[in-house]
Amino acid sequence: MNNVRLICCIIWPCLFWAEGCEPKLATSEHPAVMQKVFLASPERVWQCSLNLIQRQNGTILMEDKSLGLITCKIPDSLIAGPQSQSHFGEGWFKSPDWKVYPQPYIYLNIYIKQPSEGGSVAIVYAIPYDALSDFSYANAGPEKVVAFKDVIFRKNYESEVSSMFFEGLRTILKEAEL
Amino acid sequence: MKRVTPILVLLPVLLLGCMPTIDESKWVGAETGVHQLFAKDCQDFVVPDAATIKSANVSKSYPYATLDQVWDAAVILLMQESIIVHAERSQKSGLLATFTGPPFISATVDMPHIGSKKLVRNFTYSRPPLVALLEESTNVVAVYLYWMQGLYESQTEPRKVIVEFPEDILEKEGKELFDRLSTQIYARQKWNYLYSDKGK
Repeated sequence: MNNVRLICCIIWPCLFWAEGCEPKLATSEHPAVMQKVFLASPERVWQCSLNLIQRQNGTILMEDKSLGLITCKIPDSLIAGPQSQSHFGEGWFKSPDWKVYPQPYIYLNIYIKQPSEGGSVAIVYAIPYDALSDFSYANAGPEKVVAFKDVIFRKNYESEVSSMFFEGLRTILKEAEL
Repeated sequence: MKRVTPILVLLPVLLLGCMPTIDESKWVGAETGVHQLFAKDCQDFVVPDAATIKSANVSKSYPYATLDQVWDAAVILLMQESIIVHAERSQKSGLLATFTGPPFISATVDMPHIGSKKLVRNFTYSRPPLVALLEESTNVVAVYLYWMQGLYESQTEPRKVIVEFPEDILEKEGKELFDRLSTQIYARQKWNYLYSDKGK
């Protein structure tokens, strides 16, 4: 019986690891946490979003003001803090074998729209897409690929990035008011 | 308790021992159009024309919905799946082009504590970049999908496909996307009581 348990002890962690290594695709949940309402005109929110991306040394891939769409990539170490430690899980990643690399970029889709009732209100969606960040790891060379584990294992990363974007946007909007 | 103790002692050791080290990794299909687009931040993304998009025969109609509603739902949905690299709208139609991650990454994983064998794992993304065309006619909005599989052809050897997505997978992906779009479009009408701002 003990042998059976010992074998289970060996197999279980392997299964656990294998399960955990499945790629984490982009979230498919309803993006309620990635949506915020701002009491400012969509034009103003648009301009402040561009300012924020610029301040974060981001690169704009696509923008269309009339549609309220911006696609950009932002150096992740800036948006998520130095070394991107904030979205590390516990335990698994403390081993010295697993070096910590800042994630090169996070890709962010931004959609700014005016509610049907109109007014000086903007509904903002900020939805990160991190599968492309895997892509950038892979292209960065083998030494960066270690950072795969960040993407695979972290759980609340998308909402963290969205929150940080909204926080930055709120700050810039306040600055603009003063 | 005696039986449990060895497990508790061994478990952390085994967990640490089984921790893999990725010592090599490569992007399969690095010479494809997808790779080149990624390197240039998708600046050269060429959107296919409407006839090409429709020729794929992947479509679904959404009755009792306006183009604005379907557009809004499609944007919110595709933003979660990819990055939007091209968008255009007219009064009766809309076009969204998206870019996804690499289709296939292989990594050689060294697991010395399991007989020093190297385990090769493949990380697969299930769908290629996608273009969605939205067209409104009387009380119906038709959505056409076009998977840009041509982006996985070799740039050096014409017609050589580096990565091929199985048809059944794309069929399933398309169906799921249409279903989710349907939920996104009609959810508020069907389950308005679930929304905090009921009736708006």
